[in-house]
Amino acid sequence: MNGNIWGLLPVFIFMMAMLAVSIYLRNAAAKKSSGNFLNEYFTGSRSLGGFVLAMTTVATYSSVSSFVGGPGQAWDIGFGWIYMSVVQVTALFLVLGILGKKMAIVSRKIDAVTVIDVIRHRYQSDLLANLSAIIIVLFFSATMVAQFVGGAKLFEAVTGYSYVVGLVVFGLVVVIYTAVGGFRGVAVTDALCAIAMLVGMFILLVGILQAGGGYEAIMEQITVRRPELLEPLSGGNMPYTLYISQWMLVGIFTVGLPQSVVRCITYKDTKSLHRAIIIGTVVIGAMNIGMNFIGVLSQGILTEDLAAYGNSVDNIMPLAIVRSLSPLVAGITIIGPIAASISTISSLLLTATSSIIKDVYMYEKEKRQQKISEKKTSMLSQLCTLVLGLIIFFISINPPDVIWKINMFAFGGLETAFFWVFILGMFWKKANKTGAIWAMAGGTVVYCLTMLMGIKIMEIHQILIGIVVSLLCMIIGSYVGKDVDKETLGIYFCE
Amino acid sequence: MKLKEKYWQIKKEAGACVAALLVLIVFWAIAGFGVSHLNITVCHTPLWAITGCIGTWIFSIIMVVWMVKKVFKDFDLEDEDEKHER
Repeated sequence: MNGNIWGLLPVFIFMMAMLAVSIYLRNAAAKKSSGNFLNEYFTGSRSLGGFVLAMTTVATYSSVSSFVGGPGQAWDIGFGWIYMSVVQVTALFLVLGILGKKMAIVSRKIDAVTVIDVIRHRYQSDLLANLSAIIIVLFFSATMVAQFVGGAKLFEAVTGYSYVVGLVVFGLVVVIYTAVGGFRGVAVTDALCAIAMLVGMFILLVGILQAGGGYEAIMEQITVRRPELLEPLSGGNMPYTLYISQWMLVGIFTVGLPQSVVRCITYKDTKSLHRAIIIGTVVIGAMNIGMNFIGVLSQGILTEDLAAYGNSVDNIMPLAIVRSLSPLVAGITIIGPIAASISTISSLLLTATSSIIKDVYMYEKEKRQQKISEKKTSMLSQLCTLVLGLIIFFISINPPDVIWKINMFAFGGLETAFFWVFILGMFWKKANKTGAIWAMAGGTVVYCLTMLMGIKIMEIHQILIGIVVSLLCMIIGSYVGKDVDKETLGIYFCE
Repeated sequence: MKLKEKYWQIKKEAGACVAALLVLIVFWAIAGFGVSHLNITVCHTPLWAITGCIGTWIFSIIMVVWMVKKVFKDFDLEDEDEKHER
């Protein structure tokens, strides 16, 4: 192993700080405990303020690919890639603005702790709830593995330590702090992660500008060597259909992602929500423009063809970091992408746990009228988080091919499964159990199949097919099936 | 505010978000693809990249701030009708 200790140390210290914050928050919450463990553990007792709500939503949403794969593409495609990624400024105001208040009011009325609680109640269907839990656990697990692998690979490439060392340094710690801290811990560490991402981004920007001989020199060089990078269509590498696909995939339909929607039931009051929409829009825009701009500027230091860099755009950012920064500064900078990866993992892990413990296990127990003590609930929830986290961790050491396949389907699959179920559930009275089950199952199956077989309509990403099929299923099913009873609907709609 | 009024307000806010999305798509298309036809370069950077990326970002912030101040309203997330009944 030829690792440089200065490369390892900053990440290690950062992870220890995350752990300390989580333990502190847990103790502070235990002192003024309201006695409702589940509410505290899975929603932080609905107490998030605007800043933390904004940051945790952005951090969960920004993954390791926002820092590695994305900017790597920007290096290859040019300004078109930034132009495409800026559509993500819509993500925050859409999910919080459309679903935020309704979900908040409803979850308080029916005492919901998870998004599946809301889905089960709105559609009065255990089958739908179980289906949601399966989809969430399956897709989230694959996404978490991908985040672990992405973070550890970057760590290996930048610090020189092995992949497994990287995985242990940040992977084990994120599992432990999520299990210990619950949602409150996840939210606050997410906020700190978002700040670390911005700091890492800023350092890297300065480093690359210096290493490339200044902005002017880099841009002149691009103009001569790769003029197509200055065009929106990037000489055909960035067609209109790709823009349209990305608008749907990373813009509009992100409203349906359960890991974002769950944040709607955790904030304190409408003032917090309003602040979060503004802060979140500022931060997510800065991050997307900033990181992808850095990707384009990396042309100034990585001047050869992609073949010279292992034929993978994923290698671009690690190389750019190593070639432009000293080991210690590089070590500090990679806290950014590592933070992006762990903040996504922590939220997904907790939501997946809540699906298993709250939505499946505890619900079944309650149905059989078996009481579970507060103490047992607490132990089970934390144990489940720990065990699921460790399983994901061990899979990440040597992930089988099937995980990559599932991961490829995860983002769009989650959107297809949940978009209409949430949107129409909250805003269309007629939406019922039959429609929702058809929409979730039909949409997801069709999406995954068309992805698998590479079937596209007008060269646009399969998310289009998935969403349209899901919508049709929802509408037809809702007219075919029985309406939800008046009493239940009374909670979601007023006459 | 009564629950009925809150739900009506929520519908209005959701509608505003959808409208904001449509306006942003139009702005984005004009600021990027539209401006790219002008072939102007500012400080070694194509103008469309500045207006399409940073412009869209700033425009979205202005729009969101306007929306939050003018359309969105503050109210209690607990159901006040229910509280009175108790």
